Amino acid sequence: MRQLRGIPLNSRNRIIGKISKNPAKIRETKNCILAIASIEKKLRGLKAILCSTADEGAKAIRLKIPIIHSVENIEALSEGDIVSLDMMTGDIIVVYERNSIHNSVLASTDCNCRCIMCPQSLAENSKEHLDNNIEIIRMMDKHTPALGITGGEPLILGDGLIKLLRQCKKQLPETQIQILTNGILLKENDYVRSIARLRLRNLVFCIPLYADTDTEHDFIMQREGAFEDTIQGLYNLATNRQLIEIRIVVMSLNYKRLPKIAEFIYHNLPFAIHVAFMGMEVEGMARKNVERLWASPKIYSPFLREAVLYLFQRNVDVSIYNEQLCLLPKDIWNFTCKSISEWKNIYLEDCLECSEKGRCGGFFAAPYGVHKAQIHPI
Amino acid sequence: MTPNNRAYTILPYRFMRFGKEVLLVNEAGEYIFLSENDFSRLRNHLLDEKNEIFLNLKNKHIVTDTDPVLPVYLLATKYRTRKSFLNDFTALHIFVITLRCNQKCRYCQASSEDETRTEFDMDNKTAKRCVDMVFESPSPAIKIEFQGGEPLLNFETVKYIVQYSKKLNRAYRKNLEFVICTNLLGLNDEILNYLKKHKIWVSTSLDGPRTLHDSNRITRKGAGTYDIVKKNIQTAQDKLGVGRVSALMVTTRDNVDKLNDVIDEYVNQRFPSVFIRTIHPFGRAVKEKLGYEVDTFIENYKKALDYIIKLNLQGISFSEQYATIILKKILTPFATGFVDLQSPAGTGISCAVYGYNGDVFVSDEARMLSKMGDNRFLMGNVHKNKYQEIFNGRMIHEIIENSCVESMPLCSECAFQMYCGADPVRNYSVRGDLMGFRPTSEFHQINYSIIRHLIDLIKQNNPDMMNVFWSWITNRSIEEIQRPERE
Repeated sequence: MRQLRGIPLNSRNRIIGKISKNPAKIRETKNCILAIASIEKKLRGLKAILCSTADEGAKAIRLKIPIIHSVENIEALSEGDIVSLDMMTGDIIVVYERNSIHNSVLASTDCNCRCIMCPQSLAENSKEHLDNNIEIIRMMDKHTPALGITGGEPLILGDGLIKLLRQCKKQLPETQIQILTNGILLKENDYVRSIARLRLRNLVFCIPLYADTDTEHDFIMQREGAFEDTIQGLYNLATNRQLIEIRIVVMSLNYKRLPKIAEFIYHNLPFAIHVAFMGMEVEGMARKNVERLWASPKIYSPFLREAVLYLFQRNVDVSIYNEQLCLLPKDIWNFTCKSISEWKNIYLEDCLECSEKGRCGGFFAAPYGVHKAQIHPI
Repeated sequence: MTPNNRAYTILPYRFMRFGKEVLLVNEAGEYIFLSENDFSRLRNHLLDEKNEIFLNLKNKHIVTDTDPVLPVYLLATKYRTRKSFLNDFTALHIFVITLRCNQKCRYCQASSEDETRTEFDMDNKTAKRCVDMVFESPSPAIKIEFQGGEPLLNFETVKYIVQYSKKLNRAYRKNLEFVICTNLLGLNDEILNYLKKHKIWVSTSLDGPRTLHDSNRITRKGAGTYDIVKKNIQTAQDKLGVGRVSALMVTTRDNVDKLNDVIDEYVNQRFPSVFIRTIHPFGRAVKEKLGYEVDTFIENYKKALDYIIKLNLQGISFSEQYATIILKKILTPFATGFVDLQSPAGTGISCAVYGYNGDVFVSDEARMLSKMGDNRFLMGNVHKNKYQEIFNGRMIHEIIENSCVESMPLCSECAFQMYCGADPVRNYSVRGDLMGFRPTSEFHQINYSIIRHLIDLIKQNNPDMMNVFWSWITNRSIEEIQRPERE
């Protein structure tokens, strides 16, 4: 997530609030955090103030409300963004960007799997975590086009997730909600039914499938029985008429089977509304295991092509995420998407000369060295 | 490896040899090809579990080296999907509006009556009883097909049925559709407006260009009908929309070796597909000797299919319906809902025919047998019997019991089982028993040969041809499938 920093005053707590940049336009001050260049008049009722210059320090102390001053790049904050302020360190974390299509809520920092290519750093969930998330959703713009619910594994929240989704339904009735889950806990049909009963119209479950056979999938998930549980979960979702997207992260361990995975999906999960093949994000566990997991898109693109065209031929909606056009055959370019969140989406120096940069998804902030060397302008 | 020390379990499959390769089909109709050598290794438990072929077989649930609960669960789900046509019971209801006809086609199986004989019309009282019975079917989708004779000769009853069933449907709220099977000779503006207003699909007959069409499809006075049919097809297409009008053809001795001409005629007349149908050994067709050897049909069918594939590759999107149905069965996990190729047979449970006098038959062929004096497949009469007596009577049970390919001799072990079906009425009319005898059955020969031919084509794995097949299955133009474009 995008992050800024300044010098904190007047508080040592964690504060969550919605950004406003124009003091004149503030109607409801309760959750409001004002982000301005300098403090010009006395303001009351605000949750906090962010300002860019150091001179404001003295004025700020007198106001007796939490302030972070000397914030660099304060223009990066937009009206309606939601930030979490750490008043101990002065960190300003942007948890929601009103103008982004890639917003998400980190529902859980814990997981019931330890996938060998997991890009996340995992930690036990804290008690306030769920309440904070619900508060964040409550502050979101009603017209937010899409929201991801990610983790860790969001389903380990159990009833907590239902609470979170209920808040989504209330605050974001039109928003496309995507839950990123391994699907294991959906093997309990009662749980699936209680989610289905919420009747969220635009809820999609995004569930990974790394192989077409159990042993291979379980190894990548580092959990015995994961394949069977996830399949059961997918069937429970289908029976309860929930929408499903299947996600396949491509790595050395599975790229040769991509066409067979596509075949398995078509024959066993024909109710999925979307299938996405995803380039690996080399972070967390993936970075640690990169030698073992890495496969160049140049090597796996023929397999990826076969799998994508197999599904397209069968009228299955299919996409490619996180890949660069210069490493893919041209006849599958149309399936690529700009899938990387803006704050960590970069292009290399070579990319600046590329005629297709506008269509290309680019990279996660840190492309792996071997990968980087193969990139070339088109 | 000893039997006690087996590394993997083999799950049920059926197989058939294709040259040097072996086709294996699992219980849900998914297939895989193996070399003779790998097939032998599979059976003798000699495949290595890390081997690609083992994984491919595991993907198809033919082997498993882990708990068999999951593959059995997946197979069961897919089997249920394939058989989902059974869930809803009878959806297609055919009404014989009149036996009168203004044509006297030489192959007519419906043995029509003279235009003046109005005693063979369905009256409103019978029509009402039939519609009442139709709505007793549990099916959420109901298709009422008007047939004859020529239904336009008794259009008042057609109107009555449309009006009465729409009225009933206000309470039932079923997905209700109408189709009229007509030779289009009697088409006029008033009828066209009515068809448009009530969104009635039109199914007509076209046997090819003028010479072929007029050799069999003639008026009662013996005159050709091609010109008027062509004109009226165009009128109907323009008024109702090209997609609302379809045509059927019958393959006879006259056109069996000229199917390319038939196909060209269909393309020229803006039809998106053709259904190359064999002649049925019923009614006048037998007397007029319009039949041909089964092999002749099969050879010409294959040639016609090649020709259609070629047309597609030239950019003309056009399909053959029978091949499309079978390809769907071979290549997709879905049910097809095609009444003539089901197990148990669709006769009675998926479709029923209501005669002009209220007699209810399991199929049109059953009605023909009755016309010839054999009431073997008469389920009852709407004036005399209740729904339960007709649709849950001894007859329908007997047909189901005797038309499951899963238990029929030779079918039970056939690798094509999931792609095929049974026709008990035809078996009975040829041999006198419902089960039939595969070695001499024409139904078997035709389906076996066509399925085998299609699998041969699939096996070639020619990307262009596969694109054509998938354009048929998914109902998209060939252009759309060749050039993946997305918004």
